[in-house]
Amino acid sequence: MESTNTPTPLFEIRDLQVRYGDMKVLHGINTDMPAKEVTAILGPSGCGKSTLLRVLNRTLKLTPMARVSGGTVKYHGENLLQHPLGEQQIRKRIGIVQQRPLPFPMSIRDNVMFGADYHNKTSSGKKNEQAQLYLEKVGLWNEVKDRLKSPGSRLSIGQQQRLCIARSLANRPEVLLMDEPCSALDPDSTAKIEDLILKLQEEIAIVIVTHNLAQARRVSSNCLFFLNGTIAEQGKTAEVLNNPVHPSVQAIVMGKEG
Amino acid sequence: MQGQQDHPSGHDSQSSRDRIVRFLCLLALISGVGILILTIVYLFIESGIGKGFLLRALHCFTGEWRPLATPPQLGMAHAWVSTAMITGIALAISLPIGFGIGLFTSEIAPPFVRRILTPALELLAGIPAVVYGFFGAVTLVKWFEVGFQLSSGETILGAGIVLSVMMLPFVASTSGEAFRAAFQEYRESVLALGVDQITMFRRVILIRAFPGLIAAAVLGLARGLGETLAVLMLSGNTTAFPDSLLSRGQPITALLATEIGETAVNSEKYHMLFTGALFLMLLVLMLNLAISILKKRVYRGLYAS
Amino acid sequence: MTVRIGNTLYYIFVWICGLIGMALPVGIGLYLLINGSKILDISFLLDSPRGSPLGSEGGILPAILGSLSLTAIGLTVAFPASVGSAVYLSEFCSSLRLKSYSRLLIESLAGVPSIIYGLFGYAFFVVLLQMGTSLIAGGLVMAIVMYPIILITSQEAFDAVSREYREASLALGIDHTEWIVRVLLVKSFARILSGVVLAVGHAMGSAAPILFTAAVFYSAGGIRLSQPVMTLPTHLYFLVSEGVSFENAFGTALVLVIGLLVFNSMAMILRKNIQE
Ligand SMILES: Nc1ncnc2c1ncn2[C@@H]1O[C@H](COP(=O)(O)OP(=O)(O)O)[C@@H](O)[C@H]1O
Ligand SMILES: [Mg+2]
Repeated sequence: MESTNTPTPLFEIRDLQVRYGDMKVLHGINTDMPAKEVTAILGPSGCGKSTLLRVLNRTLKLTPMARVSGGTVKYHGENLLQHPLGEQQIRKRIGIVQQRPLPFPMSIRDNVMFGADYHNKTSSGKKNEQAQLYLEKVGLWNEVKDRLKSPGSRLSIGQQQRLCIARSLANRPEVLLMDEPCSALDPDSTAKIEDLILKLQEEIAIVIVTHNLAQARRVSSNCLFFLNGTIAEQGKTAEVLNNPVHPSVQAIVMGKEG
Repeated sequence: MQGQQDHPSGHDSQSSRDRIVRFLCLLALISGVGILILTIVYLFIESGIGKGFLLRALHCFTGEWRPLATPPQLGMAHAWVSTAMITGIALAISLPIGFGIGLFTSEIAPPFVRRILTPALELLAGIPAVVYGFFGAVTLVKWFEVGFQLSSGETILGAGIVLSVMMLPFVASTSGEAFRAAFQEYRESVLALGVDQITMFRRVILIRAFPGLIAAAVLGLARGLGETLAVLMLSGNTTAFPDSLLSRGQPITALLATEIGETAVNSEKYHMLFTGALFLMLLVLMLNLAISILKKRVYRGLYAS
Repeated sequence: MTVRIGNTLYYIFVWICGLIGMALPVGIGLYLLINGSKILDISFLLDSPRGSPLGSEGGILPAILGSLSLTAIGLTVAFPASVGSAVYLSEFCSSLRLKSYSRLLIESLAGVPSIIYGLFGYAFFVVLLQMGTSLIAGGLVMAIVMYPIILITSQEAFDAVSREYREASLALGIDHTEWIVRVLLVKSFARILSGVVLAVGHAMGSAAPILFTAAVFYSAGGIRLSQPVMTLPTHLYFLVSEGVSFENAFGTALVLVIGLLVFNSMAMILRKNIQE
């Protein structure tokens, strides 16, 4: 397990800039993110939230034309973008859950253990045990324990999203990035995932992108408010959402909750 | 820090296993594409390029085929003319009917008929050329013998008719796609004006689908030029110059198939046969390129506006 | 009034074309079935050609075996080569220009007449590499004919797998091989399979590439790499062009067409089951 009481923040992001081809998408992001807390990222569509998550999980380069064009990101005080652990280990430690759940073409059990099994070859019996552990963690075990061998794509969307969370958790990440994890889900599944986030924050750091201000209040302690590729406002969630200073943030917060 | 992720994509970090897989896949691509390119290069080589190639090329298109005369004459004019006549006949038949089938499947046919017709056309496309040749030999050739009182029923016309049947599924499906796209785009707005089908077809659909129809015709032509077995079995395979639709002929593919096995390697005749093959391939390659470009244009047309 | 007549003629023309499109495959199929079923029985499938002239009696077993082994060799060479090439182009190749040029080249070459590949195979494998007219030479030519077909369909199959899967897989920190083998290939399997079916159907039925690289009129010896073989399409061609036996020709044509049909439908059923 990673050391936990280091004074350095989990991520230190300084003047981070990202381009897609000629189009600048992040114009100098500055923030620190603490370990073992939930950070919410808010802001209108297209302002660069997913892009930031891709930088942190080192998957930005999978997008054609995308590149970091300036700035630094430190992870435990080390340069994240050229981290000595290498890209694959960073992706393992900094997991991500996408907006749209994408089960892989394999059984439920193999879906859960897909990444974990790659990083740590496990015997079949151990695999079942581990899969059960993570499925229980996301509250899916009782729903799927009789059909672990059936394809992951047969589950409902809400179940699929929890399967994808289990898949990331099985990697034993230190950080879990969640990109609008509930936007495709019904209220019931959303509540289950919010409960899960509250439970997980005791063990790992979580960064969640959401459009739902109420959800941000419920699950997060800190928040970043994005506008057009910059951070317009950041701080404790309650403060930012109760007393926004930036006029556009004010308008959005009032409009949504007023 | 500047520019550290400058690679656009693909240059993701790779495990040692990845590097092996990457190498093997690259090897597959290089050998596959390499051998295809080698095919082209080798035809050039075997056509005796360099040693009087231009003269041979000229002779290939204009001279007579009399390999046993002294000195042997190795022109293939009769073969090119046969090829032109047979593919001409085949196009003249298969284009109107193929376009008609394309229209039928894309607009007129009731859904259940469409569901039968599409696999039926696939079946037609899946029948091997040699079976078409055989089928033509036991039907058309026999009928021509009786109907036209020929001593031998193998004719340019018969080969062209059978070839048109072979082209039909390709012409029908390519033109059908073009028609379908055009109808989807305009059907509602045009019919809303109260015009009838023929008017919509002539004034809007035909113009919109035109590049696709050209592509269909070129595709049919490319198929027809290279078709071997059926025309070999049906054209009569004689080296005489064809002078009418009912005379016998020998298209270039049939000439190649007949002669190559009986020709001394690296003889003048051998080089001449490969010269013919080379020009046939270049012709078809050009047509294929034209199809690729036309298809791109069709798609661009679809997404533009 | 004339407008209405034009419209009616238009409908009539299109319907006639549609009926021709239906009548041709049905007509040809029935004609072969009726004439071929007279001769087609188990012994026709399991016997060697006999009689005088040879092939006027007996069966076509060596031709069936020859066709199967030619196709098997072609597929064994072409399948890994074409799928590997497609993987390289869609997964490892970072140059968009190289991608589009090789695509254009391969698409153009896929349309080159198979007799051209037959001539190349004759000059290169049979003569230059001294393989002689043999199963291996013909099998390699078959591989060349199949390669672009499977490559193009594989590339289309990979393109159809959403890029989101790639990101979701690699985001777990796995390597490219794991993603390719366990997600990409699995998700595109059904489409690749249809490319294989297309290529095999094409190869099985075509005589032009093997006429002077692998085929003989009669072969008594078994299936050996260095020996020529009989095949169904060339056997049919010899029976007809030498006027040996139209009866046996009907039987051979029917076996060829039914064989391809059965193969295609099996693949279709398999594909449906996979997609479930
Ligand atoms: N693959 C891409 N190519 C080009 N531009 C992109 C790509 N992905 C996102 N963008 C652009 O980058 C900006 C930020 O996108 P994103 O980070 O997805 O925003 P958010 O997640 O906040 O909605 C948007 O303006 C979007 O148009
Ligand atoms: Mg987003």
